[in-house]
Amino acid sequence: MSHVRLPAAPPISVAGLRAGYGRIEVLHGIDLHVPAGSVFALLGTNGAGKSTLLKVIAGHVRATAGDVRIGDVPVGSRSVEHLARQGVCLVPEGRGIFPNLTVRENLRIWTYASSIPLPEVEERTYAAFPRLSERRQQAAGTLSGGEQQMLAISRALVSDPSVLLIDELSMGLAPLIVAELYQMVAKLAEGGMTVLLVEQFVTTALAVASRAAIMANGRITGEGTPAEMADAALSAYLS
Amino acid sequence: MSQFLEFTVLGLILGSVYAISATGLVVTYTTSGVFNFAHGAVGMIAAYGYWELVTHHVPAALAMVLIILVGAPLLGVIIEWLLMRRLLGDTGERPIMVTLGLLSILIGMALVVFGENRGDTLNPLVGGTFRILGVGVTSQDLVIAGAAAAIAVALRVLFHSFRLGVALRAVVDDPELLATSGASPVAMSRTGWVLGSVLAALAGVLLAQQQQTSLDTYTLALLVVSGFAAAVFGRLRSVPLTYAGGLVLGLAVIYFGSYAQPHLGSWGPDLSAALPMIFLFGVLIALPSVRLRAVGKLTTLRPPRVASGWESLVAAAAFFLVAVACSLTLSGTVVGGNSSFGVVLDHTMAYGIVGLSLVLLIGYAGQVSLCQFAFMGIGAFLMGKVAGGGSLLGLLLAVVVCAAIGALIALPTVRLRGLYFALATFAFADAAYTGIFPDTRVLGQGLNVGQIVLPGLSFGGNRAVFLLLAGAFVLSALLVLAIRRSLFGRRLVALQDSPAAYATVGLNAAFTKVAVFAIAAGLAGLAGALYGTAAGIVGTSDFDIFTGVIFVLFVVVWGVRTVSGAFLAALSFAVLTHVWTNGVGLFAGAGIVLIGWAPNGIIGMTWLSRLVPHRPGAGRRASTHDAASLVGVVDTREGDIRAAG
Amino acid sequence: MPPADALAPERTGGGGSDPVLEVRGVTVHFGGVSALTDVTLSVDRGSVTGLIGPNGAGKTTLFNVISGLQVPNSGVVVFEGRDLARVRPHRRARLGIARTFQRLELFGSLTAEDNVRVGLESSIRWWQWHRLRASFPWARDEAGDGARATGSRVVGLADRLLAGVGLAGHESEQSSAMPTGSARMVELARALAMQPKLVLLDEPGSGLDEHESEALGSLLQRLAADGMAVLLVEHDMELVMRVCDRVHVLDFGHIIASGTPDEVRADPRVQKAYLGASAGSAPAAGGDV
Repeated sequence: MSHVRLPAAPPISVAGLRAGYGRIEVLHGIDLHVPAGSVFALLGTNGAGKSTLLKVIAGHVRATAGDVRIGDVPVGSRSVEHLARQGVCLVPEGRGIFPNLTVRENLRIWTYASSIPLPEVEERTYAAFPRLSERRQQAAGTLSGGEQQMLAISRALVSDPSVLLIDELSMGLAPLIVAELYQMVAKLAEGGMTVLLVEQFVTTALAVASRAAIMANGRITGEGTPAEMADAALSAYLS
Repeated sequence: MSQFLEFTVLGLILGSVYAISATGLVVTYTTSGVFNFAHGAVGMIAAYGYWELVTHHVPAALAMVLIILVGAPLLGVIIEWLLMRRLLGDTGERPIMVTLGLLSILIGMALVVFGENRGDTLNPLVGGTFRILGVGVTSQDLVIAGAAAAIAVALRVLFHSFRLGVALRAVVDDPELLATSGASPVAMSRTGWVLGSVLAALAGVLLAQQQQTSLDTYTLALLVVSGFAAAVFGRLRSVPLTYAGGLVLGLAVIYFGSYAQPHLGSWGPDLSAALPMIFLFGVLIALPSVRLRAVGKLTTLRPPRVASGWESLVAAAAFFLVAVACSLTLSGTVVGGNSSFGVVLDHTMAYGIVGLSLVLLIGYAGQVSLCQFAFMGIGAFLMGKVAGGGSLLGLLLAVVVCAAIGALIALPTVRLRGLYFALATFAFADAAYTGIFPDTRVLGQGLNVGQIVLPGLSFGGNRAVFLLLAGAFVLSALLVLAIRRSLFGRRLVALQDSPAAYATVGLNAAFTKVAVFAIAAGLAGLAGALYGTAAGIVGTSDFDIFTGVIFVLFVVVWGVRTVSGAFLAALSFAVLTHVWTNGVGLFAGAGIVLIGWAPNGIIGMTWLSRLVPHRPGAGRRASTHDAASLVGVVDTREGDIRAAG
Repeated sequence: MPPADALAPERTGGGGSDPVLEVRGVTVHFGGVSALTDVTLSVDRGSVTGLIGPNGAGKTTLFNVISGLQVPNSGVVVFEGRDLARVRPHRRARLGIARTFQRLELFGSLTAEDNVRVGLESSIRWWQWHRLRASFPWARDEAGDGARATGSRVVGLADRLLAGVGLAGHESEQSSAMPTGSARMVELARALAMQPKLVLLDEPGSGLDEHESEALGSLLQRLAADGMAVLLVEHDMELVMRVCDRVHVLDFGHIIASGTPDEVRADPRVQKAYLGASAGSAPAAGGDV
C-alpha cells in the first residue's frame, strides 16, 4: 500500500460542484477556492449545505457534477480511508468518536491515519488535553461533551494532516470550552495546514479565520475577509 | 457427591461445546452487526470438507489446516462479498433473511453433494480416554474444552489489546467514522467474516469429531442452535459472558437431565432437548426493552398497490374456480415419483394460508416469525385430538388456541428488537419441534387426524377436502386484504415505518404487535388443522423447524407484501418438496441473494409490476412520483446529527 | 386556509395566562454529556411559544422529554396539572400532546392521506365497532357534509386537513416521495388530526419557501386563536418573531432568556448565544464541561 502523503497545506479548489443524498440535491453548483495554508470559515444557516460540502471534500459524498481537488489530487477518485491516510482529516459534526470504545481505544484507531505509534499518540494527546489522561480507560461515551470533542480533535493533533476539515466544533458546548478548542485549532493551523471549518457561531469562527464564505440554500452567497463577512453573516442570521 | 462431580465434568464439557459455537456467533455479530444463522452450516460444510480430505488419505492434521486456514477464510470472503457488503448498517429484517438464506443454500448444497447422512463417523483428532474425578473423558472432549477456553481468551485479547480488534469492534458502530480515521470498513467487515468462518469451521470439525454418530447434514448445521442461548446471554457482544453462558447452560442441561427429568417420570415430556431453547427464551425475556427513538430515516420502498374490495372479491372467485378446475382435471396426475398432484394442491392451499399469515406479519407489520410451522403442528394436533378427531370444534380450537399461544409468546418479547423477537420465535419453534412434537402423546411419528366432518356436509372424497382447503385459503386471503385496507392495516404499516411517530400519534405499539402476531398464529393453526385433515396422518417431520424457515424464505423471495406472493411461494414450495426435495433449500437460498436487488420479491420486480395495469384511485390524481421501487433509505436532512439538539 | 372546525380543539373559555404545559427543572445526561440542565418553562393555552437556540442546545431533547421518548434524569413535566412521569408516549399523545419531528418521521410507505388518517383514527379502540366500520372506505358518509357521495367521513376530514396545510391535490402521493417541505406539512396535518391541546413543532419551517413559511405562520396563529397551545422550535427568526407570543432561548442545555420576541431579540446574552462569545466573556451560567 503506497500512501503518498499530500504536500503540506495544499489549496482546495471546488468548481461547479453538485451533490446530494439519493434524489435530493443539496449543493447546486459550488465554486470555491480555499487558499493554501489558510484558515477558511464557512458560515450559513441550518440546512445550507455546509456539512455536505465538507463531506464531499473528505470523500464521504460523491459529487454528481463538478470537480473537487486538494492540491492537484482529484477527490472523486479516492476512497475516504485513502484520503484520510494521505492527510485529509475530517472532524465530523456531532461527536467524531466511538462512544463504546475507551479513550485509549479511540486513540488506537486514530493511529490508522498517523505515522506515529500509540505511545507517542497518547503522549501528545494527554499533553494537549491533560483531562483526557485521567479518563484513558473510560468509555468515550461517558465523557462530557467538551472532553468528547477534545478527543475528536486529538485526531488532527496526532496525524499531522495536510488538510483539516472541522464541522461544527462548538455544537452543544459552553463558550469557554469552545474557546479552548479553537485555540487548539489556531495552534494546529500555525503548524502548516489548510483548515476549512464550518461554524454556526460567526464571531468565534471569524476570530480564527483568515478568510470566510457564506452559504445559503446550497450556494455560496458571499466570500471575503472576516471583516467583510461579519456584517453579512449577522444579517443572514438575525434578520 | 462423586456423582455430582461426574455430572459437573460432563456439564462443563457440554458447556464448552455450546461456548465454542456461541463465541463464533458473537465474533460475527460484533464485527458485522449480523446475527449469522448460517454459522452452524459453515461448520457443517467444513466438517464435510474435512471428511472428504481424510477419506482421500490426506493426513488429519494437514486436512484441519487446509479446511480451517484456507477453505474457511475463502468462504468468509465470498460470503462478505456476495451477501453482506450491501447490508452493512441494515438493522431491519433483511440481514436475518440473508443469513437464513445462506443457511438453506449451504444445507441444500450439502444435501446435493453429500446427501443427508454420510453413514460415516470422523475419527477424533486425538485418541484415548482419561478419567477425571472418576469420569471417563475422551481426549477429544479435552481438546474441545481447551479450544473453547483458548478461543475465549484469544478473542478477548484481540478485541481489546490489538488495533485490528479495536477497529473490528468499531466498524459496526460507525463505519463512516472508521473510514474517516483511515481504516477501510469493507476490509474490516471482510476480516470479521473471515474470522467468523474460521471459528465456525473449527467448531464444526471438532464437534463432528466428537459426535460419535455418523455425519448428518441437519444435525451439524443446527448444532450451533444451542449456542444461541449462550450468545444472547453475552448480549451478542461480550466474549467472556458468552463463554460463561455456554458453561452455565451445559451444566444446566446435564443437571436437569440427571436430577429433574427422572422425577418428571413418564408424565413429563423429554425437556432436556428443549432446555437450551427454554434458556434462550428466559434470557430474552430478561433483556431490556428497545428504546423508542426518532431515527429520521424514511423508507423509500414503494409498496405494492392494495387491491380494492371489489377487485379482491372478483379475483377470489376467479381463483376458486381455477382451483376447482385444476383439482378436477389434474388431481390424478402423478408427480415426483409417487405423490399425486392432488396432494400437491392440498399442500399448496395449507401452506398458502401460512404464507398469508407471513404476509400479515412480515409484509405488513415487519415482524419476523420463524415459528409458523410450530403453530401448524399445534393446529394439527388439536384437530386430531379434540372430540375424537376431524371435528369442527377441533378446527375452531386450532385457531383459538394457536392465537392464544401466539399472544402469550408475543407479550413478553414484542418490546425487543426485531432480531431478538425473531430469535424468540425460533426458540419456541425449536422447543416445539425437538421437545414437544416427538412425544408420542403429541404427534410422535404419526397422529391420525381423521377426515373432517362438518354438519350437513360430507367430505367423502379427496376432492371435497381440497375444496374445503381452497375455500379456506380464499377466505383467509380476503381476510388479510381486508385487514390491510382497514384501519388496522394502516396502523401495521405505520408502525413498521416509524415506531416513534406511531407512539406519538397515540397508538400502542406493543398491543398492535401482539394482536397481529396472535392473528397470524391463528391462521397458521387453521392451516395446520386443514393440512392434517387433508393428509390424514401427520408426524413431527411434517412441521420440521428447518422446513418452516425455508418456507419463510420462499414467501420473502416471491413477495412478502402480496397475497399472490404467498400463493406462488406455497405452490412452488409444495411442488419442489415433492419433485426435488434437495432443491428446496437451494431455491430459497438463491432467491434470497436476489432479494438484495428486488426488495418486494419476484412479484414486486418492476418489469413484472408493469404488466399489471396501475389504476389510480377513482377521481384521484395519480402520483407524480412514479419512480421504480428504490432500495434503502434517504436521510431527510443534510448531515448526521448524532447529538440531539 | 384551513377549515377552522376541522383543526381546532374544543374551545376552552379561559384566556390569559393559563399554562397547559409546565416543564420544571428537567435535566438530561447522555453518558457524560449534559443535554439539558435544570430547564423550566411553561406553555400557555391559546398561544404560540417559541423555543430557539443554537444547534445542539437541547431543543429536540426537550421535545423528546415532553413527548415521552426520553426519560429525564430529573425534573417533572406537568400537562394540564397532571405529572407525566411514567406516562408512556402513546398515553401522552392521547392526553392531547402531538408533535412533529426535526428529522421526518412519516409513515413513508403510506400516502399523504393515509398518514393523516392514522392520526384521525388514532382514538378508535378495537372494541368500538361502529367507529371501526366507519373507517372502512366503502362506509356511507353518515355526516352528510356532501363532500363526497360515498366514502367515509374520515377520508373527507383527512383531505380537508391536507388542504389546510396547502397540500390539496397531493392526497394520494406516497409520503416518502414528497419534497421535504411538503412532507413536513403532512406531519403537521397528521399531528393536527389528533385534535391535540398542545402541539410541538420541530423546525416546521425548514424546507419551505418564503410564501409557504408565511402561510405556516398564519396557520399557527389561527390554531392558537382557536385555543391550541403551540410550542415551536424554529431557525427562521422572522417566523418566530412574527408569530410567537413568548420566546424561550435555550443555550447548551440552559434556558438563558425568556420573554416577548422583542425583549429576547434585544437581550445581549441571546446575541452572544447565536453569534458566539469571544473567549473570556462567557455567560454566567455554568457550562457543560
